[in-house]
Amino acid sequence: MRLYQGVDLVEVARLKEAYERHEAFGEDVFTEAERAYCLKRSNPYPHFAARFAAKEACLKAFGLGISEPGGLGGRGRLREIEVESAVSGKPTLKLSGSMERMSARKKIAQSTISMSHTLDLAIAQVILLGEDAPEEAD
Amino acid sequence: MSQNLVSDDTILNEVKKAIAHTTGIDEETIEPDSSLVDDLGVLSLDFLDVNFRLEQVFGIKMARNFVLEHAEEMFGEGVAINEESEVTETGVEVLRLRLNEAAADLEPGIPVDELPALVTPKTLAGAVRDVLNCLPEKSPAGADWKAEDGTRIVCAETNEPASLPSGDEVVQNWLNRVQEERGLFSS
Repeated sequence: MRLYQGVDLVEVARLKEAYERHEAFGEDVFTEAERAYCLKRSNPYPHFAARFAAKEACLKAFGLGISEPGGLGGRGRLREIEVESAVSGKPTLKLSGSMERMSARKKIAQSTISMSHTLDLAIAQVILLGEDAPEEAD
Repeated sequence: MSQNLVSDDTILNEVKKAIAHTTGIDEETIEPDSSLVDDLGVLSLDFLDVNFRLEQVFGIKMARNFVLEHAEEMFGEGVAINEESEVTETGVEVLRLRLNEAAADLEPGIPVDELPALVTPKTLAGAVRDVLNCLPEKSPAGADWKAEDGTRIVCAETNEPASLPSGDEVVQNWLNRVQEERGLFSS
Protein backbone atom coordinates (compact mmCIF):
# COMPACT_ATOMS: atom_id res chain seq x y z
CA MET A 1 0.00 0.00 0.00
CA ARG A 2 1.31 3.42 -0.88
CA LEU A 3 -0.15 6.30 1.03
CA TYR A 4 0.90 9.90 0.54
CA GLN A 5 -0.32 12.81 2.60
CA GLY A 6 0.18 16.54 2.85
CA VAL A 7 -1.17 19.30 5.06
CA ASP A 8 -0.96 23.09 4.82
CA LEU A 9 -2.02 26.03 6.93
CA VAL A 10 -2.60 29.51 5.51
CA GLU A 11 -3.19 32.87 7.16
CA VAL A 12 -6.30 34.37 5.58
CA ALA A 13 -5.00 37.95 5.94
CA ARG A 14 -1.74 37.01 4.15
CA LEU A 15 -3.67 35.47 1.30
CA LYS A 16 -5.97 38.50 1.06
CA GLU A 17 -3.02 40.88 1.02
CA ALA A 18 -1.30 39.01 -1.84
CA TYR A 19 -4.57 38.64 -3.77
CA GLU A 20 -5.33 42.34 -3.54
CA ARG A 21 -1.79 43.56 -4.14
CA HIS A 22 -1.03 41.58 -7.29
CA GLU A 23 -3.44 41.84 -10.17
CA ALA A 24 -2.40 38.48 -11.63
CA PHE A 25 -2.56 36.54 -8.36
CA GLY A 26 -6.17 35.38 -8.66
CA GLU A 27 -5.86 34.17 -12.25
CA ASP A 28 -2.41 32.64 -11.77
CA VAL A 29 -3.31 30.65 -8.69
CA PHE A 30 -7.01 29.77 -8.98
CA THR A 31 -9.05 28.32 -11.82
CA GLU A 32 -12.07 30.15 -13.18
CA ALA A 33 -14.42 27.77 -11.37
CA GLU A 34 -12.60 28.30 -8.06
CA ARG A 35 -12.74 32.07 -8.43
CA ALA A 36 -16.44 31.93 -9.30
CA TYR A 37 -17.13 29.75 -6.23
CA CYS A 38 -15.20 31.97 -3.81
CA LEU A 39 -16.29 35.32 -5.21
CA LYS A 40 -19.94 34.34 -4.67
CA ARG A 41 -19.26 34.47 -0.91
CA SER A 42 -19.67 37.68 1.06
CA ASN A 43 -16.10 37.19 2.36
CA PRO A 44 -14.28 35.17 -0.30
CA TYR A 45 -10.84 35.17 1.33
CA PRO A 46 -11.22 32.30 3.85
CA HIS A 47 -12.46 30.20 0.90
CA PHE A 48 -9.53 31.25 -1.29
CA ALA A 49 -7.16 30.56 1.61
CA ALA A 50 -8.62 27.07 2.14
CA ARG A 51 -8.19 26.31 -1.57
CA PHE A 52 -4.64 27.64 -1.55
CA ALA A 53 -3.90 25.42 1.44
CA ALA A 54 -5.42 22.47 -0.46
CA LYS A 55 -3.18 23.09 -3.46
CA GLU A 56 -0.08 23.29 -1.28
CA ALA A 57 -1.14 20.20 0.68
CA CYS A 58 -1.58 18.35 -2.61
CA LEU A 59 1.91 19.36 -3.75
CA LYS A 60 3.31 18.11 -0.44
CA ALA A 61 1.45 14.82 -0.81
CA PHE A 62 3.03 14.39 -4.24
CA GLY A 63 6.45 15.13 -2.73
CA LEU A 64 6.82 18.31 -4.78
CA GLY A 65 7.03 20.74 -1.87
CA ILE A 66 5.99 24.34 -2.17
CA SER A 67 4.56 25.68 -5.37
CA GLU A 68 6.89 28.51 -6.27
CA PRO A 69 10.50 28.02 -5.27
CA GLY A 70 11.30 31.37 -6.84
CA GLY A 71 13.31 31.62 -9.99
CA LEU A 72 12.93 27.90 -10.58
CA GLY A 73 9.31 28.19 -11.69
CA GLY A 74 6.47 26.04 -10.41
CA ARG A 75 3.62 28.46 -9.89
CA GLY A 76 1.86 26.94 -12.92
CA ARG A 77 1.16 23.78 -10.90
CA LEU A 78 -1.26 25.65 -8.66
CA ARG A 79 -3.82 26.07 -11.42
CA GLU A 80 -3.37 22.41 -12.34
CA ILE A 81 -4.82 21.46 -8.95
CA GLU A 82 -8.46 22.42 -8.76
CA VAL A 83 -10.72 22.01 -5.76
CA GLU A 84 -14.15 21.11 -7.04
CA SER A 85 -17.12 21.48 -4.75
CA ALA A 86 -20.01 19.05 -5.05
CA VAL A 87 -23.57 20.21 -4.46
CA SER A 88 -23.32 18.53 -1.06
CA GLY A 89 -20.34 20.79 -0.31
CA LYS A 90 -17.87 17.88 -0.34
CA PRO A 91 -14.63 18.99 -1.99
CA THR A 92 -12.75 16.82 -4.48
CA LEU A 93 -9.46 17.25 -6.32
CA LYS A 94 -9.30 17.62 -10.08
CA LEU A 95 -5.80 17.47 -11.59
CA SER A 96 -4.65 18.55 -15.03
CA GLY A 97 -1.41 19.06 -16.97
CA SER A 98 1.81 18.09 -15.21
CA MET A 99 -0.06 17.23 -12.00
CA GLU A 100 -2.30 14.78 -13.84
CA ARG A 101 0.79 13.18 -15.39
CA MET A 102 2.48 12.98 -11.97
CA SER A 103 -0.64 11.29 -10.59
CA ALA A 104 -0.53 8.70 -13.38
CA ARG A 105 3.17 8.03 -12.76
CA LYS A 106 2.56 7.50 -9.07
CA LYS A 107 -0.44 5.33 -9.96
CA ILE A 108 -2.74 7.30 -7.70
CA ALA A 109 -6.10 5.56 -7.54
CA GLN A 110 -7.90 7.65 -4.95
CA SER A 111 -7.59 11.02 -3.33
CA THR A 112 -9.37 12.64 -0.44
CA ILE A 113 -9.30 16.22 0.66
CA SER A 114 -10.49 17.95 3.78
CA MET A 115 -10.53 21.71 4.34
CA SER A 116 -11.55 23.95 7.20
CA HIS A 117 -11.23 27.62 8.03
CA THR A 118 -11.92 30.34 10.53
CA LEU A 119 -11.82 34.02 9.68
CA ASP A 120 -8.08 33.99 10.41
CA LEU A 121 -6.73 30.60 9.35
CA ALA A 122 -7.43 27.98 6.72
CA ILE A 123 -6.17 24.41 6.76
CA ALA A 124 -6.32 21.56 4.27
CA GLN A 125 -5.19 17.96 4.21
CA VAL A 126 -4.80 15.80 1.13
CA ILE A 127 -4.41 12.02 1.18
CA LEU A 128 -3.48 10.07 -1.92
CA LEU A 129 -3.67 6.30 -2.24
CA GLY A 130 -1.63 4.31 -4.72
CA GLU A 131 -3.53 1.85 -6.85
CA ASP A 132 -2.06 -1.09 -4.97
CA ALA A 133 -3.90 0.07 -1.85
CA PRO A 134 -5.96 -2.73 -0.29
CA GLU A 135 -9.72 -2.87 -0.68
CA GLU A 136 -11.53 -0.75 1.84
CA ALA A 137 -12.61 -2.83 4.84
CA ASP A 138 -16.36 -3.31 5.37
CA MET B 1 23.02 45.38 -23.36
CA SER B 2 20.59 45.17 -20.42
CA GLN B 3 23.59 45.00 -18.05
CA ASN B 4 24.29 48.63 -18.89
CA LEU B 5 20.72 49.63 -18.16
CA VAL B 6 19.97 47.53 -15.10
CA SER B 7 23.04 46.50 -13.15
CA ASP B 8 23.46 43.20 -11.30
CA ASP B 9 23.67 45.19 -8.06
CA THR B 10 20.33 46.86 -8.81
CA ILE B 11 18.69 43.49 -9.46
CA LEU B 12 20.10 41.96 -6.28
CA ASN B 13 19.03 44.98 -4.22
CA GLU B 14 15.50 44.79 -5.64
CA VAL B 15 15.37 41.08 -4.82
CA LYS B 16 16.42 41.80 -1.25
CA LYS B 17 13.88 44.62 -1.04
CA ALA B 18 11.10 42.32 -2.29
CA ILE B 19 12.02 39.67 0.30
CA ALA B 20 12.22 42.30 3.06
CA HIS B 21 8.82 43.80 2.15
CA THR B 22 7.18 40.40 1.98
CA THR B 23 8.63 38.89 5.14
CA GLY B 24 9.36 41.92 7.33
CA ILE B 25 13.00 40.82 7.61
CA ASP B 26 15.52 43.67 7.81
CA GLU B 27 16.93 44.09 4.29
CA GLU B 28 20.43 44.64 5.66
CA THR B 29 20.50 41.16 7.16
CA ILE B 30 19.69 39.41 3.87
CA GLU B 31 22.84 37.97 2.30
CA PRO B 32 23.12 37.10 -1.41
CA ASP B 33 23.62 33.43 -0.52
CA SER B 34 21.02 33.18 2.26
CA SER B 35 18.67 30.23 1.71
CA LEU B 36 15.18 31.72 1.51
CA VAL B 37 13.72 28.66 3.22
CA ASP B 38 16.40 27.65 5.72
CA ASP B 39 17.90 31.04 6.63
CA LEU B 40 15.06 33.50 6.06
CA GLY B 41 12.05 31.32 6.86
CA VAL B 42 10.21 32.23 3.66
CA LEU B 43 6.88 30.40 3.28
CA SER B 44 5.06 29.30 0.15
CA LEU B 45 2.79 32.32 -0.08
CA ASP B 46 5.82 34.57 0.51
CA PHE B 47 7.61 33.04 -2.48
CA LEU B 48 4.66 33.90 -4.70
CA ASP B 49 4.56 37.42 -3.29
CA VAL B 50 8.28 37.96 -3.90
CA ASN B 51 7.97 36.76 -7.48
CA PHE B 52 4.97 38.98 -8.17
CA ARG B 53 6.84 41.98 -6.72
CA LEU B 54 9.83 41.31 -8.98
CA GLU B 55 7.53 41.06 -12.00
CA GLN B 56 6.07 44.45 -11.16
CA VAL B 57 9.40 46.13 -10.46
CA PHE B 58 11.11 44.91 -13.65
CA GLY B 59 8.05 44.61 -15.92
CA ILE B 60 8.80 40.95 -16.63
CA LYS B 61 7.07 37.60 -16.32
CA MET B 62 8.90 35.01 -14.20
CA ALA B 63 8.68 31.33 -15.16
CA ARG B 64 5.39 29.67 -14.21
CA ASN B 65 6.55 26.12 -14.76
CA PHE B 66 9.31 24.34 -12.90
CA VAL B 67 12.54 24.01 -14.89
CA LEU B 68 12.61 20.21 -14.50
CA GLU B 69 8.99 19.94 -15.67
CA HIS B 70 9.93 21.92 -18.77
CA ALA B 71 12.72 19.41 -19.32
CA GLU B 72 10.26 16.52 -19.03
CA GLU B 73 7.78 18.11 -21.42
CA MET B 74 10.50 18.76 -23.96
CA PHE B 75 12.60 15.62 -23.66
CA GLY B 76 10.39 12.95 -22.15
CA GLU B 77 8.69 11.91 -18.96
CA GLY B 78 11.03 10.66 -16.27
CA VAL B 79 14.22 12.32 -17.60
CA ALA B 80 14.46 14.74 -14.70
CA ILE B 81 12.12 13.50 -11.93
CA ASN B 82 11.46 9.86 -11.12
CA GLU B 83 8.16 8.43 -9.90
CA GLU B 84 9.32 8.77 -6.29
CA SER B 85 9.51 12.56 -6.85
CA GLU B 86 13.32 12.48 -6.71
CA VAL B 87 15.65 14.30 -9.05
CA THR B 88 17.42 12.03 -11.54
CA GLU B 89 21.10 12.29 -12.49
CA THR B 90 20.17 14.29 -15.58
CA GLY B 91 17.88 16.51 -13.50
CA VAL B 92 20.75 17.24 -11.11
CA GLU B 93 22.98 18.13 -14.05
CA VAL B 94 20.32 20.56 -15.31
CA LEU B 95 20.05 22.20 -11.88
CA ARG B 96 23.84 22.48 -11.56
CA LEU B 97 24.00 24.26 -14.90
CA ARG B 98 21.03 26.47 -14.04
CA LEU B 99 21.91 27.39 -10.47
CA ASN B 100 25.72 27.15 -10.61
CA GLU B 101 27.30 27.03 -7.15
CA ALA B 102 23.93 26.94 -5.36
CA ALA B 103 23.44 23.42 -6.74
CA ALA B 104 27.08 22.30 -6.69
CA ASP B 105 26.56 19.79 -3.86
CA LEU B 106 23.36 18.25 -5.23
CA GLU B 107 23.30 14.49 -5.56
CA PRO B 108 20.94 12.40 -7.71
CA GLY B 109 18.01 11.12 -5.69
CA ILE B 110 17.40 14.35 -3.78
CA PRO B 111 13.64 14.73 -3.17
CA VAL B 112 12.07 17.50 -5.27
CA ASP B 113 10.55 19.03 -2.14
CA GLU B 114 14.05 19.80 -0.85
CA LEU B 115 14.91 21.99 -3.84
CA PRO B 116 13.31 25.24 -2.59
CA ALA B 117 16.08 25.37 0.06
CA LEU B 118 18.53 26.02 -2.79
CA VAL B 119 16.86 29.30 -3.69
CA THR B 120 18.84 32.35 -2.61
CA PRO B 121 18.60 36.06 -3.44
CA LYS B 122 21.41 35.40 -5.92
CA THR B 123 19.55 32.64 -7.78
CA LEU B 124 16.42 34.79 -7.89
CA ALA B 125 18.44 37.70 -9.27
CA GLY B 126 19.86 35.31 -11.87
CA ALA B 127 16.35 34.43 -13.04
CA VAL B 128 15.54 38.13 -13.45
CA ARG B 129 18.84 38.73 -15.26
CA ASP B 130 18.15 35.87 -17.69
CA VAL B 131 14.91 37.54 -18.79
CA LEU B 132 16.44 41.03 -19.03
CA ASN B 133 19.32 39.63 -21.08
CA CYS B 134 16.83 38.87 -23.87
CA LEU B 135 16.44 42.58 -24.60
CA PRO B 136 16.90 43.26 -28.33
CA GLU B 137 19.51 45.81 -29.45
CA LYS B 138 16.91 48.38 -30.46
CA SER B 139 13.26 49.05 -29.65
CA PRO B 140 10.58 48.37 -32.32
CA ALA B 141 10.77 52.12 -33.05
CA GLY B 142 14.46 51.68 -33.85
CA ALA B 143 15.48 53.67 -30.78
CA ASP B 144 17.67 52.89 -27.79
CA TRP B 145 16.29 51.66 -24.49
CA LYS B 146 16.35 53.37 -21.12
CA ALA B 147 15.64 52.12 -17.61
CA GLU B 148 12.76 53.95 -16.00
CA ASP B 149 13.21 54.19 -12.22
CA GLY B 150 16.39 52.19 -12.78
CA THR B 151 14.48 48.92 -13.26
CA ARG B 152 11.79 49.03 -15.99
CA ILE B 153 13.21 49.01 -19.50
CA VAL B 154 11.30 51.22 -21.96
CA CYS B 155 11.91 52.70 -25.41
CA ALA B 156 13.90 55.91 -25.03
CA GLU B 157 11.70 57.65 -27.61
CA THR B 158 8.19 56.31 -27.13
CA ASN B 159 8.40 55.14 -23.50
CA GLU B 160 6.77 51.87 -24.58
CA PRO B 161 7.78 49.05 -22.22
CA ALA B 162 10.20 46.50 -23.68
CA SER B 163 8.51 43.31 -24.81
CA LEU B 164 10.60 40.60 -23.19
CA PRO B 165 10.06 36.85 -23.42
CA SER B 166 8.49 35.17 -20.41
CA GLY B 167 10.61 33.28 -17.92
CA ASP B 168 9.14 30.05 -19.31
CA GLU B 169 10.29 30.89 -22.84
CA VAL B 170 13.74 31.79 -21.52
CA VAL B 171 14.00 28.44 -19.73
CA GLN B 172 12.79 26.50 -22.78
CA ASN B 173 15.34 28.25 -25.02
CA TRP B 174 18.06 27.60 -22.46
CA LEU B 175 17.15 23.90 -22.27
CA ASN B 176 17.31 23.65 -26.07
CA ARG B 177 20.77 25.24 -26.01
CA VAL B 178 21.93 22.87 -23.26
CA GLN B 179 20.65 19.93 -25.28
CA GLU B 180 22.41 21.13 -28.43
CA GLU B 181 25.68 21.71 -26.62
CA ARG B 182 25.74 18.77 -24.22
CA GLY B 183 23.15 16.26 -25.40
CA LEU B 184 22.08 15.73 -21.80
CA PHE B 185 18.80 14.16 -22.72
CA SER B 186 20.10 11.68 -25.29
CA SER B 187 19.08 8.14 -24.53
